[in-house]
Amino acid sequence: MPILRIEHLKKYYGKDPQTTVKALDDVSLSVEKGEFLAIVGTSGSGKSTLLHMLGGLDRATSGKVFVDGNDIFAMSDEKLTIFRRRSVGFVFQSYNLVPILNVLENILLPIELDGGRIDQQYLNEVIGALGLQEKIHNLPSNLSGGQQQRVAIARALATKPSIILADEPTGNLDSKTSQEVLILLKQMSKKFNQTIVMITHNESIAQTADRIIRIEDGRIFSGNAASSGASLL
Amino acid sequence: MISTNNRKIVTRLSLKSLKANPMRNLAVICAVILTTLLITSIFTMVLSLNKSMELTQMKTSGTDFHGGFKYLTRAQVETLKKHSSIREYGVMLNAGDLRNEVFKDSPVEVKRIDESSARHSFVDFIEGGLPSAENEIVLSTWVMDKLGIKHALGQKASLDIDIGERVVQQDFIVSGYYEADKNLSMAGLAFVSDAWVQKNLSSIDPVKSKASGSYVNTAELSVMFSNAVDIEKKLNKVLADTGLDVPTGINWAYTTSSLSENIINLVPYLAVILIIMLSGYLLIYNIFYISVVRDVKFYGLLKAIGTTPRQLKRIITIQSQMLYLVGLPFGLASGYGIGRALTPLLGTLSDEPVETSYSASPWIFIGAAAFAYLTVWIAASKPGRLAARIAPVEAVRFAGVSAKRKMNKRSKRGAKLYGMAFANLFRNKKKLFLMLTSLSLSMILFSIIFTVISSLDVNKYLSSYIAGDVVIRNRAIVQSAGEQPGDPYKLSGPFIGALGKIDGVKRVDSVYYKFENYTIDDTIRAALKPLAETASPEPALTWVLKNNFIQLNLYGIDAGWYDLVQKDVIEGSFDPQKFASGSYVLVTESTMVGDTYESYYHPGDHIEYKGLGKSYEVMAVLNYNALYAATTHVFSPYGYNAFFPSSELTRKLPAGSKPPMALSVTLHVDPAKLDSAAQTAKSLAASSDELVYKSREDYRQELGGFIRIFQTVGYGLSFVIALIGVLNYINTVITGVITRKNEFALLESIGMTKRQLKKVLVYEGLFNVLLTVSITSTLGVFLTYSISKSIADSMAFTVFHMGWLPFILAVPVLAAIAYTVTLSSYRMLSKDTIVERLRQTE
Repeated sequence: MPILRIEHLKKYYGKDPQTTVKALDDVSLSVEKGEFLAIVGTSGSGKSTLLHMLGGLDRATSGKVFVDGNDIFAMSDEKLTIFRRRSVGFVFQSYNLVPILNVLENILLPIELDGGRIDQQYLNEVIGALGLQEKIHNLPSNLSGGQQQRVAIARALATKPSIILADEPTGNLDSKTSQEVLILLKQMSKKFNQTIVMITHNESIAQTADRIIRIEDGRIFSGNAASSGASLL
Repeated sequence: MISTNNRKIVTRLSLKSLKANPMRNLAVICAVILTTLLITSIFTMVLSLNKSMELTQMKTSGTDFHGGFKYLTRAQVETLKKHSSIREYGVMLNAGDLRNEVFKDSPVEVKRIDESSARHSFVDFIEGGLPSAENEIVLSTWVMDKLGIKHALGQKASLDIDIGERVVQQDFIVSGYYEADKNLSMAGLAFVSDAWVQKNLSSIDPVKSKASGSYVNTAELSVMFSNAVDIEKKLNKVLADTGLDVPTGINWAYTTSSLSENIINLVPYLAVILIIMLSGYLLIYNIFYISVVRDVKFYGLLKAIGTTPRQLKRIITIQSQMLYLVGLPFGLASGYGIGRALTPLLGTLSDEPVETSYSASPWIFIGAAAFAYLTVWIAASKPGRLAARIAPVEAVRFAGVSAKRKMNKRSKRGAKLYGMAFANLFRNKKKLFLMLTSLSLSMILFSIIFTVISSLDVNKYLSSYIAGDVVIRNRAIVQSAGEQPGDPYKLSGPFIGALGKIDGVKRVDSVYYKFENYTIDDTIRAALKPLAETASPEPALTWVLKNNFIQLNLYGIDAGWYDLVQKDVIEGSFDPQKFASGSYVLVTESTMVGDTYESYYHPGDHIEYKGLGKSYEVMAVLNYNALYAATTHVFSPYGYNAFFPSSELTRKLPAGSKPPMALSVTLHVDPAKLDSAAQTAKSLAASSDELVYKSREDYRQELGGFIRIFQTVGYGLSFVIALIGVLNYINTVITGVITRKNEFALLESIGMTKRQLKKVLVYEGLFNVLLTVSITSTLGVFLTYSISKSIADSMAFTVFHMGWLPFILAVPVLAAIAYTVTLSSYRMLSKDTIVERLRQTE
């Protein structure tokens, strides 16, 4: 059973038919549990928009997104936010750590916002795996780019989400750090049986994924969009 | 759905966010302090004024007991005082009246009171205490002055006490005396001992003395209930429970128009509080709005991670509440101080003598805190909603510019600096609107206050009260409506003659006064009937029609007043020579329903006045308040003033008609001898209690005091609001520059010089000034004109003229502020290099 299912997703900007920008034009896709999917495309191809839709950060013009069987666009803003913080972990290109909170606070933020209990053992495991033990009381501004991205990954994993959405997670990092981060990301997802959808424009990084789909002009250009992940394993 | 333990993180986030914005916090705290301070001081003034008025009224009514039972026998007192609803009581026994010659015009009642009554009747002993021996007595300092004895214990006072059956002549020894304000207490009082009562009154039957009207040996039981609500009902309940039927009295100080009872009196204060709240709101709202816009990335990020809209709102709310709590105590404390300092000033605005007393009611603080909280809450709620609405994806791009901008820009002139500046202004219309509103509001308020103050006309004020250089009025007549003791005939012919002989006095103009209940004639009935045929006619009108007479004030004026008649003529024409002949009358318009004025008569009509025993032809109709300085200043509803030459009132009047009273004497003095003549007149007037001496200079000073209060409060208020407006402006400009740091760096990177950038900013400032001025010079002028005209028209001594100065002055002042603020915000900007600034985006 797919953990993520997209049906005829469209996102248009602008009402005037002459100037309408079709960021996503009838995209359908399904992702199996535990799969690592890479979405590649040039800038402006609509890949970021697709990712935002998957995580419920933005709403579609038409079409549906099912996460774990839940129609996320049918939810209210409030409910969607709560659903997102429980089921989806985000990793952004620009890390997007809260500058006024230290590393530990940043990692714990989604759990605490949810009012949930902290699984200390799991947390230690994540922090240890990401090599952040020494840094947990640092403010984000005192960390290098790679360290910041590791904090962001830890934050994304904190609530044990079923899906991790990563938007060019290595975009701001040098190639060596990129490899490290990528390996960590993959390890973690295997360890906790999580699904990863990652955007990148770097072909070599995309190659590490279980499956690659290419997006151009808002449409899926190549790649087996409807294939089941199992066949690729 | 939301479990309670996520509150902790929301609070923590709020605290962290607070820590990250020290400057903004300071600004909000200052705004909270300012708002609370102003509201608290208003509350303090209103409640203190209310308390002062209540106290004054209680002093006038003589006690702060809730009410009492009158003309009781001793047995009745014993029965009544045991009733369970009575918390406290005092017994006062009527012992008689003083008949000494000096008290002919100002009655002094003799009583026997207990400690409780003394305490509740404002009898504060300067020395001594209540009498115990038979020959001991307590007097007020005023009575002692009248008797010509020194203010000291053990003084001998020889008194004639009328106890109804006879007059007891006895020498008393003063056992105590107290300060009594003769303006406040209705009648003078003297207190005798119980021993004296036993000796002299035990034979008098209270029932009989009550029937005879002397009331000697009857007692009054004054009581205090648990509260002052519906005193009449409580008194009646006591009567019903005890089965007695005796007269009761309610202390009207608890029922009559204290400030809190009369909602209309509160309206101006409420309006001021609303203005304060509005400007406080504008300030706090603006600060939070800008802070949310500036931190939009932060909030968008929080939302992306999973902070719900409600939690985001709470983050803003908690921050505002914490800042409110920090500012509150300072605002309350300083506001209370300022309020107390201003209360005496406010008290002097009232016509009646008011003794200032300060309220420390917890309601001042509760109310001010509540209003300030409301302001903060409303001000923070909208920025909170804004933060909650931020779309997580937008967060990264948001720069305070509305995303829904459809407008196409078709410019042929290219990117001119002023064009850019002008376009920049409208990038955030809401911010622009807020800033313009607060700046314009403060300017309009200032110009209204300025216009009203400059409309106050000293000459008009003076002519309303005094026609010559010195006036001596008989207070006993002017306040005849109250129970002011005094001789209404104190201004006698010989006295006026003596005034005329003072060296330097050129002319003496007297006004004689007579009161007439005029039986309603056909003309008046025709005018009043239609007014009474409404669903709920005015009580005063019903009263007039039922009694079939209207109350007229008849004035006899000396020739000196004739010059002042002409300006008030509204119908007919005034001919001094014909008027002096004594066959003519000048009538004023009557005060009709709802402050309208109308005359019953027209020139040529004939009116017969019974008190004068003669019929007069109406020569002219005057304004209702014509010759205001000559009148008693009292207008009875549906009645009017009639003016005659003074000879018509001083001549021999028909039998049974009361002789006229001399109301006032106005002296016209040779300027060279003004000082000495005024001194002499003053000392002559000082010889009696009834005569009040006032010079032109006295009135001038009174108005000066009034203007000073008006200026202090008015300019103070507009200064504060102007300060808020300017703070708002500074805030908007500086944050506008901060949020555009990146954009400016970009512009510089593509070749805009710093000089050019500075120019753009200066243009922006100037356009702001231009917009503000265009608002104030259109809407502002209109509002100033209409509001200050209506205020000026409702005040007696104003001549409205529009004050243009604030509008003209505002332009350079605003321009200077705009220039300074722009330059300092520019200086903040240019410290970092272009690359550093460009990098700061992400």
